[in-house]
Order: sequence, then C-alpha cells, then structure tokens
Amino acid sequence: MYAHTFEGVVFVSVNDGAIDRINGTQVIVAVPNEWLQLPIIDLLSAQREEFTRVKSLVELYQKVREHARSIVIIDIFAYTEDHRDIVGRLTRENPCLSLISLVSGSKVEFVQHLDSSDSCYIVPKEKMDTQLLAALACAHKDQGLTASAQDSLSIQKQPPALRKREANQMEKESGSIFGRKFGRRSFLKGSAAAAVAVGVATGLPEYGMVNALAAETSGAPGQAAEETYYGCCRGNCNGGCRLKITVRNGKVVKTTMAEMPADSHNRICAKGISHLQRIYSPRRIKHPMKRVGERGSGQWQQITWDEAIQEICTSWKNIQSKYGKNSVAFSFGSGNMSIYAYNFPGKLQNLMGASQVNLSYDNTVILNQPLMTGVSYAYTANDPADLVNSKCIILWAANPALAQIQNWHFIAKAKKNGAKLIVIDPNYTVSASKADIHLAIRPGTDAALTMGMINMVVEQGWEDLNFLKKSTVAPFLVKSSDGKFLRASDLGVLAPDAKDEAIVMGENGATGVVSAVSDPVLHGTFNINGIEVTTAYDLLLKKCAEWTPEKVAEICNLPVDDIKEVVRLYATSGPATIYTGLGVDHYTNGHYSYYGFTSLAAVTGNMGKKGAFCGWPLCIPQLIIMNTADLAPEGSQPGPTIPGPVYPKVVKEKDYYGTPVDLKSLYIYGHNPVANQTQRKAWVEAFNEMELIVVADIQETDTTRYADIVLPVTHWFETMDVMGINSPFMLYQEQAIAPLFEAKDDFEITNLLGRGMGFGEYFTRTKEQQYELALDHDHAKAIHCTFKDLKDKKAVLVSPAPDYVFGEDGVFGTRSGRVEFYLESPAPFQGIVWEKDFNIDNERMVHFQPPYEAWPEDIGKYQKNALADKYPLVFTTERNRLKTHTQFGHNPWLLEIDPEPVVRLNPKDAAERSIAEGDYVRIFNDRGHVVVKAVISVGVHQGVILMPKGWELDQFKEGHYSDLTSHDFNPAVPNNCYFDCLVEVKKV
Amino acid sequence: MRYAMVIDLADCIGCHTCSTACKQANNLPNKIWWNRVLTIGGESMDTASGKYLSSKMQFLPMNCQHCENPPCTKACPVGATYRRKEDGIVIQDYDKCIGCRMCMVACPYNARSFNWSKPEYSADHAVGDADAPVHQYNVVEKCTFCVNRIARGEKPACMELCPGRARYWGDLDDPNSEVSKVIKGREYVKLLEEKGTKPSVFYLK
Repeated sequence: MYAHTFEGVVFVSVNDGAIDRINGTQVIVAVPNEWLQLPIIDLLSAQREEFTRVKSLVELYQKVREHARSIVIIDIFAYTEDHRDIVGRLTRENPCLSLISLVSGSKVEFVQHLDSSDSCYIVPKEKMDTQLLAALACAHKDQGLTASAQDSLSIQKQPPALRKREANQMEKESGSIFGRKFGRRSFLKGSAAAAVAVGVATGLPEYGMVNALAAETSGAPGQAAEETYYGCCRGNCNGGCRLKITVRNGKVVKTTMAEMPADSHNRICAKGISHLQRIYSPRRIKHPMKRVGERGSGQWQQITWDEAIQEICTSWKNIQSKYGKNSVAFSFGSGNMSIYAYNFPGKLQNLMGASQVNLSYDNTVILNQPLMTGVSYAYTANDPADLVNSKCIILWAANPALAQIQNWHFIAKAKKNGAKLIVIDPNYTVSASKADIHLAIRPGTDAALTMGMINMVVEQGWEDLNFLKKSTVAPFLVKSSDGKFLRASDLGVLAPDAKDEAIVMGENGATGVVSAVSDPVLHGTFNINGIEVTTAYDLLLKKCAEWTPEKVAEICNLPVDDIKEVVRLYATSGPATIYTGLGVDHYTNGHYSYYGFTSLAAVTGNMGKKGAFCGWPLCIPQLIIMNTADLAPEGSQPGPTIPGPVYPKVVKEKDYYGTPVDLKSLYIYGHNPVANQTQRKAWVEAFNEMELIVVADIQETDTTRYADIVLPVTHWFETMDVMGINSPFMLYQEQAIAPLFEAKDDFEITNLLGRGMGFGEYFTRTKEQQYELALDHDHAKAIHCTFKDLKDKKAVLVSPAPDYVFGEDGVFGTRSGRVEFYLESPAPFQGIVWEKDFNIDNERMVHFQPPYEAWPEDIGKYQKNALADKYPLVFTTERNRLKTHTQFGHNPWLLEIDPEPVVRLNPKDAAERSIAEGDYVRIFNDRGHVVVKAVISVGVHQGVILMPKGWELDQFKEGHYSDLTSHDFNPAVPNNCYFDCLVEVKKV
Repeated sequence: MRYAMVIDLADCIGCHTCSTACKQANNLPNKIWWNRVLTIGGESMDTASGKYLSSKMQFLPMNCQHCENPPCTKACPVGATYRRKEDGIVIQDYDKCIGCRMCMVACPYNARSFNWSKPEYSADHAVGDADAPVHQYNVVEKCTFCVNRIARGEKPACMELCPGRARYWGDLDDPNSEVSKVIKGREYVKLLEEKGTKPSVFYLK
C-alpha cells in the first residue's frame, strides 16, 4: 500500500486491501476504443480488480439492470448517443450505480452536463494513471455505503437524492463509514462533486480529477441538507447578538443575524460571523491535558476526564488540609456571559470555602458609578434604543462606533433627527470622526472638566431646579460634623416604624422629612437644633467653584470656547445624554470622573427622561430575572474576594490585608488573566508559587500556557444555554452541534468537580433543571420568561420596553430613590486600609486629582510624575473591533483584515523619535517591553500612544503589552488601571 | 431592472461586518476579499488625515461597482466577463476565464482578485452558502452581487445586516425599491465617475 499526495489530498490506492470491495460489486468497463481499453485493463489487473467489458450500450444497460452494485467506467463521449441520455438511462436502470466518466481535454465543455447524473466521477484521460484508481476506490466506498444503507434500511432502489441523504446521515451517525483512508472529508459522489469537477476540469484541463476532488474536499459545498439552529454570542462585547447557526454534515458552516423580537435590536458583527473559525480552530483544547515539562513549556500529556477530575480533587483536598480552605481560589472572567457559565462554579467555591481572585476589570463602573444612581434593566442608563430620542449626545470616554457597534445606529439616527454629537476623548476615535465637536481632553482630567461645566451651567442659569429638588439629594442637609445627611432621628422626630428619612428645609423656613416638604430649598447653611447643616447642592457647587473656565482649560488642555459651546449644547438642546464609556475607568482617578458625569447630568436634569440618561447603556436582563440564590447553599462560607491586581502581592505575603491566605491553587474558567490583567509578569511570577493551576477554556490562551491541568470547554454552539446580557432579551441557545473532541461545558465540569470534592448532593441537577429553577418564580411567570417560555420562544423581552427609560417615574435605584451626587458613606473597598490614604472628604463627590503615574508634565499646581523624565508618553489602548478582549483573536479571517498588533503615534511624537510608518518599535518602561509595528496617525493625542488591544504573547514580535501596565490602584476601588501608565518608544 | 447598492457613508463605522459576511457566504479562499472596508485617512487602517485637532477619517466599503459601462468587460479577450442585460450584474464566468488578468488592470476600483495558487481555506470543510461559488486556481473572481442568493429571493450577504444600518439594496428601476427611496433627495457620489464607468454602487454623503 502506498499513498500519493496531491496538494494536501491523500489518496491511498492500489495493492491489496487498499480498496475496500463489497462482495457482489461488479466493475463494468464501457470503452469502445481498444487503445484506451489497454491501459485501463492494465491498471485494473494490477489491482486484481475483476471487471467485465461491454461492447455496446445495450449490453451495458442490461448489465447494470441485472446487477444491484455496479461501477461503470465509461468513455462517455465515445458513443453516438447523447451523453446526457446515456447517463439518464443508466441511472434509471440502476439508481445506485457509480459512474466514472473518462473525458478528454477537448471535451471538457460538455462535462458540465454530466453533473445532472448525480453519479459521476470524472477522470481526464490524460490523468488516468494517477486518478482512475482513486476514483474507483471512491466508487467502491460508495457501493459499500449503498450496500450498508440497503442492508440496514431494507430499501432496495431509491432515488439518488434520498440515497445520498441517508448516506450523509449515516456518515454523521457512524462517523467512520468512510474510514480514515482518505484522510479528509469523504468523496461522496453527487451532483455537487460533479459540478466541482466540471469547474476545475473546465478551467484547467491539464488538472482534473485530483483537483476536482481537492476542491471538493477543501472548498466546495456539498448538497447536504442544512439545519438551522438559534443561539447567541456570549462574549462580553456589549453585543449580545442573537445568531442563526447553519449546520451541514454536522459542521457549522455559517453564522448570521437572527431576528430579535424588536428589529431595532437586530445585530451581528465580523466576530460573530467568524465563529466557525473558533470552533474548528487548531487552538481548540481537545482533551484534558496534564503538564509534563516545565510550567509554560507547552509540553502536555493527554489524560482522561476521570483522571483529571481525580487529580484536581485529590490535590485540592491536600492543599486545603495543609494550607487552609482559602488556599484554593477560583477566578472567572467574562469569557462566557451565560450566567451559569460564569456563576455556577461559584457554588463549588462557596461549598469548598475557597477564595476568589476577582477579575477587577472596570471596577469604577461596576462598583462606583452605580453608587449615585443605582442600576436597573439597562444598568445605569436607558436602553440604548432610547438614544434616538436625544437632542444632544456626549460620548464621554466612550467609543461605541468601534467598541459597542450595536448601539451605534441609534446614535446615527439621533444625529439624523438633528441631535448634536459630542465626543470627549483624548484621541480622535472612530466615534469622534462622526461627531460635531470633539474635545481632545488631556488624559485623566475628565473630572475637572465636569466641575468646570457644572459651574458654567449654574452661571448661565441652566440648572433644572425641579429635577434637583424632586429627584436628587440636592436639598438634603449635610451635617458639618460627620458629613452625613440630617435625618429624622437626628432631630428626635422619628416616628416608630417610620423610615429614617432625610430632613430638608422648606421655602417657608420650616424643616421636615423630605417626603413631606414639597418645595425644599436648594441653597443655604442652617443651624437646626444646634446642628450645623448645609444643602448637598451647595456643597457640590462649592466643590466645583474653584474650577473656573480658565483653570479647566489649562488642566484639560482645551479651549474655553469649545467647553462653553459643549455646555450650551448639553444644557439647552433638549433631552441630552451622557453615554459614559470605560476610558476614564482606566486611571487611578477614574471613579471621580463618573461622579462628575452624574453630577453634571443631575444639575441639568438630563436623566430619567426619554432621550436623557447618564451612564453605560448595558442591558442586564439575566441579572434581574434569574434567581441564583441556590448557588450559596446555607452554611457555605467562601474565602475572601481578592482583587486581581493584588493577587501577586497576596501570594507573596500569604496575607490579604489581615486575613491569612496562603494561595496554592487557582481554578480559572472563562478567563484569560495573564493576557488581560495589568502587570502580566507579576501574575506569571505568582503562578510559580502555585502547586496546582487548572484552566478550563475553549482554546489555548496566554493563561492555559501556564496551567498544570487544562480542561477542554465546549464552544458556545455545542451546548444548550441561556443568556440575557447586552440586549433587553433573554436568549436561548440551542445545541447546534455535538461537543467537539472531549469538550464539556462549565456547568458539567463544575458538577464533576463538585462530586469529586464530596459535595455530590449539591450537584444533582441537569442544566435544564438548573435553568428551570432559576426561572421558576412569579416575576418570570408574569412576563412569560420561564425556562419553558424561553425554550419555546427563544427570545423574551425582560425590561418593560425595548426602549426602556431608567428613572422615568423620577425614582432611581439608590437608597433614597434619588440621584445621590453626594455620597453619605463612602468607604474604602471592603473596608480595607490599603497602602495609599483614603481621604473620605475626597470621596463624597466629584473630585480631581491627577492620575498616579500618567501625569507626565507639571500642570498648574499638579507636579508631574518623576518617571516622566524617562518615560514621557502615556500608554493607552482602545477596543479592537475584531476581538472581544482576547477572544476571536486568532480567527484567520479577522487576522487577514488586521494581521498584527500596531501602536499608533502622533506624527510629532514619531518625528521626535525618528519613527516612520511601518517601523517596528520597542515600547518600554521599568516593568517590561513590547515590540510592535508603528502606525502614524494625526488622530492620536500628542504625548499619548494608542494600541488596539486583544493580542496575545505569540502575536507580539517580542514582549507583551500587558507587561507595561501597572497594578497600582486607588484605595477607593481596586481596579486594573490600564492607562495610568508611562512609557517610552524607540525604533528597533 | 438594474440592481444597485447604496451605502450611507455617514452611517458606516468600518466594522467589517459586510466584508466578513461576504467572505463567509461565498466561501472565499484565504486572502481573497470581494468586499473590503478602506479607511480614507492616514496610510493605515483606522488612522486619520488632516491636521492635529482637526482630523478627518472616513470608511469606504468597496466591492465590484457593477458598472453600467464596465471597463473590465471590454478588456477581457475571451468574453469571460460581461454585463447581464436583464439586471445589470457584471458576471465573471470562471469556465471561460483564461487568467490573463487584463480585467484587473482595466478595473479602476481594484475590485477584482486572482487566485494565484490553488484556493486554500482556513476550514477543512466548505463553509457559507450551500451554493457558494466554486473557486478555481488561475481564475479572476470578484463580487457577484450574490447572484445565487438573489436568484432565490434573498439579499446579497453583505446586505443581510449592516450594524450601522448603512447599506441598502434593490432595483434602481423600481421607484419603490429601498435604493430608489433612499437616494431620493440625498447627495451621493459614485466613485471615479469621470472615467465614464457608471457604477451601480451609490455612496451617500
């Protein structure tokens, strides 16, 4: 047995055993010309292939009629009858026969007619020596298939289409009818295959069967029945797209947009279209694997699931008994936004008493921004669909045209309706390119700008006094003694069982609880029963007072007139929106900026109305509708939640700010922290102290690289699931294909680990049962969003309307029900005394202080960071529209569009460093370096460099961009502060 | 009947969904793109032009313009590319194409591509539409306006959903079609009109 390789397609041919013959299959040679017969006979004899020669077509028809299993080798153009008639007659006589047509180059133009036969292999006469036997082998396979189909189904003669469908079905079911001899997809004969053959033979007569089959195996479609499944994309990209998944021959061939219940929310993107490249990626983790070489060396040994679970559980039990329960930590990211993909392992964490290494991405938005507004169906905002009603939209630190593209068309429509669009961002972004005004603000100074804008609003008398009185804490009286609101209990007028309401001052000079005073004053300092109090509004205005237009202009590096124009548009255009992004989150002073946005919106009353919100329009129906209480079984007590940026420190010190924690094992799922957390090297060093790192993922990542055990997770289409995030709908994912290789989903893996750890009684439900439970309550029933509803309808609206308005009734999600631009009880995160001072006076309201590191110049009274002498440039990243964090980052189609990481520089900064377009440059600081290609763009802020994010170690020429960033943070909120980072750039 | 595309440049955000949808539906080989999204700005994708603090950037989705007066058809020595009278689609017949690439030189839009080697694919199985074109070595190919899809009443793949809602499709001869309605009263450009090509792709300003 030997094999020919033709451009990647392996034909195994000749010699005994290479061709699987079915007893009773006859080979008929219908070649009238003797000169052509001879080489055929030689070839067949060498194979000990028995065959019959026929002299005429009449004889041929008779032979195929008599013999159920026939392979005909025919010189199709050698007869006087029309070739179409011959093929038609043959297939009528015997629908199951296999036909090998010999054609010469001069006849190729006729070959296309053969495709109607549904039974053709086409072999150019010039290539018979190499291709005839391959075709014959295929034909024998087909006959074998037909035979088994007939045997098992007791169907004798069927129309070819039916036969083929069954064959496909059988191939799917048995998976091995064609064995492995042909290496690739089976050479199912059929009209499509023939059509392919025609195409290639026509275009290039000197090629033929080989190319025909090659094309068929690699590129051309089959005519297999298509199946359609509905599902959803589950990355954390702000998309939450509903998808239609097309499957042929058991493989995903296409993902397209699936209609949402409201077509304004229909959505898809380039990433969603490239899903099949993630499913069938060579980077898929196929089996449980155990590290055999050095950690990070990439040497693995395949193990079974049983071995993996046993090894993990034995090790965890040992570690916990030796170092304490909290020495094992779980860590998840946003790798799969289905609630039970990222939450369900938490049940095991709770039962084990394990710690959590918290992702701590975007914590100022997750933890601080809602302090002032609370959250609802669309987080701190209205549904993005409401943007169309706005007359002025400020995209502040937000770049939805690149980063949240499914929200863009609402903004574009608002613009067409006459809305003014303002972008406040250091860099000229895609969104900025669509804006009426772009304020290229100095990085990290947004809070200062908000205070200046509030001043201007007040100066112009553009405040919304009614909103301030009714829906904010503006009239609340703040005690000068402790900074808290004066409450009924302070005055001894708290009625039994009554709510301890805040006290306000009425216009008539009488105080009362806020619900009883219809027209409270907004200004004034009073002495009430010996307690000195000032209105919260006055405190805000006092805080803002120092931020004169000139001072703001200097700090923010913006022209005064531009700021004034933005204030005018925002305050006077009609309902106006501040769409807040995540840009300012990435500095150590980020939370102050969000406080500033909310304060500005509260003062102008641009909240709680159609067309007016201030926040991040992120729909979160699953967090509202799903009851996940059972994930914290009674009596279970997890270990501490440790923010990602302090994980390396906790490992080193074996202490989490007073709680002894000796971390020895990490279980990481849906998370690629090594690529995405700040200061990568510190994480990798901390990994060296771990006894067991288990990573469960779909694909290889920068994190799986350092694992001791890797577990293969299903792709999103390979499992039934439910997701409701980023759109107002809960979406049902049908299982479209069986899990590839040995992959299991996070739910099932948790069940296995849970049972392995001895908590079997808590892990008895199937996933369906788990979802039934989570949606078995009155709210879900009332809005017809039980699991059964979801399964039936596949998409269910959870919010009151697809263009839901947050706070439309004047009530927000805070304790007071009002917008609390003044915080009564700010506290350091988890009450911990961090290394840096927590000054409560700075934490109650909007405040400005420069970023810790990203402050490269002396500006006003704020002195530059000393590092700036060595590293004068602020390092920033932007979302990559072809990646969701690091997901989709290796999909070939997307890499064809955007093949490698680049850094964008302003022409001035580039010229100062003699850097030209296309040069490779080294970006570096004391923490690390990375080498990438330089791209020059006048849109980049001077003194700032900008990298589209989402790349991994293997994609950089050298180093890693996550080595540059610092894990420093503000004590108010541990966070990954990506942009608070100074670097220098040099040409390599 | 004359099929046409209208692309509203104000709404295009350069997300590459249209080009990727085309790549998938037509099972395009590696490195072949019938529909690309260009940046009119700096030298690289997503970069700006103009001056610091008064920059400009615009995206331009580009596919075969299906010209009414197509220069490519005149350049083809074997009649492999021609404009269909019945609907204005410029067809490329792979079986007739001899791979001389004269049409590529003639096309002012760089809309045509050539399979310099046997088509290769990132997936081991054929993807996209079941009747996606079969790609061939040594043959010029280009956007077909998805003839196979429109024949069964569907839209071209790139029109299925544009996230920016920037793309419109239909029959220019039908006053009630999406394209006819959307260009009414709007200022539009057709690319390189001075060359007399009369493209069927309209770009709204």
